[in-house]
Amino acid sequence: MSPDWIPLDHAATTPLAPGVLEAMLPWLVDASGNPSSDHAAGRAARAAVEAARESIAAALGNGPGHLIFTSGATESINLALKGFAAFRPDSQLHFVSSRIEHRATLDALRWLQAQGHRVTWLSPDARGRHSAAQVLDALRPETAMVSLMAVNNEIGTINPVAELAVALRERGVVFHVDATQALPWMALDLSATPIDLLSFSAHKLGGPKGIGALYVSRKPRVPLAPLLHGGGHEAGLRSGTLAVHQIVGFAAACDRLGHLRSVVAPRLTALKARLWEGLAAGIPGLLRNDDPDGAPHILNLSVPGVDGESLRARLPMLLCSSGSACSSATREPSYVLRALGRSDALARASLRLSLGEGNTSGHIEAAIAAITTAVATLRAWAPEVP
Amino acid sequence: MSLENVLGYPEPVWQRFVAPRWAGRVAGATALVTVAGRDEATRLELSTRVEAGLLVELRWRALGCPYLIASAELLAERLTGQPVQALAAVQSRDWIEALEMPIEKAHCALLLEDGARALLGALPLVGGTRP
Repeated sequence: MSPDWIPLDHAATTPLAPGVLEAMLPWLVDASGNPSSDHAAGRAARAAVEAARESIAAALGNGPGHLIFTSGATESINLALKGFAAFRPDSQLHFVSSRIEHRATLDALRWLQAQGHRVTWLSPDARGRHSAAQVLDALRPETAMVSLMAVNNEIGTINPVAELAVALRERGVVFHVDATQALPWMALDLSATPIDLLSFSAHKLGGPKGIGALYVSRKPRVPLAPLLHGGGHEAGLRSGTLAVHQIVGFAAACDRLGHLRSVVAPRLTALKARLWEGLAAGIPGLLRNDDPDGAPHILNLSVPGVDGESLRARLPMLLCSSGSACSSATREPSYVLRALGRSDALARASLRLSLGEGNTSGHIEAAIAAITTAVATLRAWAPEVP
Repeated sequence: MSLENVLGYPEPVWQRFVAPRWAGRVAGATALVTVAGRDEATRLELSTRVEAGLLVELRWRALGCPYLIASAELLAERLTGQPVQALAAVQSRDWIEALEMPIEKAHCALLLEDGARALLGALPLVGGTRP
């Protein structure tokens, strides 16, 4: 990584955590075993995969289900939603979800709508939250599934998934949770929390890119139809040769979840508070889009009086996400921020700064200085907006 | 300040965006106009001081992307010292070509052209015509 970069895009992806590369390397150097093979190398690879599966399951509290390895959370979400519907080909299903879910969920559900299924889209409150009561009020007698993220990837809002899991189980409604942004920071004990389907990804928690998992409950059983055919791997739900090195790295990253939650999260909370304090002091009128009571790693801001694309262009050293670009042919303003009531201009002039384990106070001070300077420059060039 | 063009803007845009020379408002301007994009989120202010029919000073302020800022900067570069009628000759296609704008950014050049026309229209009449 360039020494000049200010890495504040950990909600997009994280670097490999300590110990992960070392865990993966032996399975890259000696990759002669296919876990499906019967010979010694294959058996060794299979043993490594199963040990990793057990380790990841333990990190989730050893719930009454099994883990299906996928290529990442997007595939997990697609398998959960489309696989659920595909197993019930003669039914017109009703889903409940949120307008501010990740695009993987939105697009998969829209695809299901195009196939004749129905979706109730919940609107969040002004802070991006959904209450359990709002979700339960949206249920119909024919509702088959609720799909919600545990933590929103843009604004860090935390949904009440534990409360909902209990309420939905009592009502016989399947509950799918996208836990991609939540797992590094929130304990989800699946032995005590009756979540039916849980999607997550390794690279958001210090693991390698290209590997994720879908937890599928067995008690009660949640039947799914596979999206990928061709060998019957992963209990018939996801065919394809397993990537042993990635799975082992995934488990190594999950082994550190306790450390992230107990040691890193409080430090990030303090760094995020300093980041907000420093930026708010230096940028008059700065607006905060994330939920102050949300996840510890996400700060989302809108900067009135500047153009988002110009702001990003003047911050080349800052690794972050933004809603910029003044052309509909490129990128639309964030649908999440628009759902919170922000104007297109404010949605475009937004920065999502997401912290991670490697961040230091030096990164935070550098970000404050860089953003404050860039905003002051652009505002000096801008006319007053009536 | 040295900035790296990591977003890959065309060089004619980037050089003008990094270190513009004509940002600001003309003191004692003969004319000052503001034009807005369709979404009102993009705004361009042009101001000029005219002496003896010449645009002796022309400055801009802009709320917009680097293409709009570079467009305004290029306007000031090209027209300072020119007769006011040069404002009527501003054509967006010339700016698109000079700044190597992609088609999806052409609206920045169109806003610039609108601004030039508005500035010309805002100049006081002298003897029934523009000075």
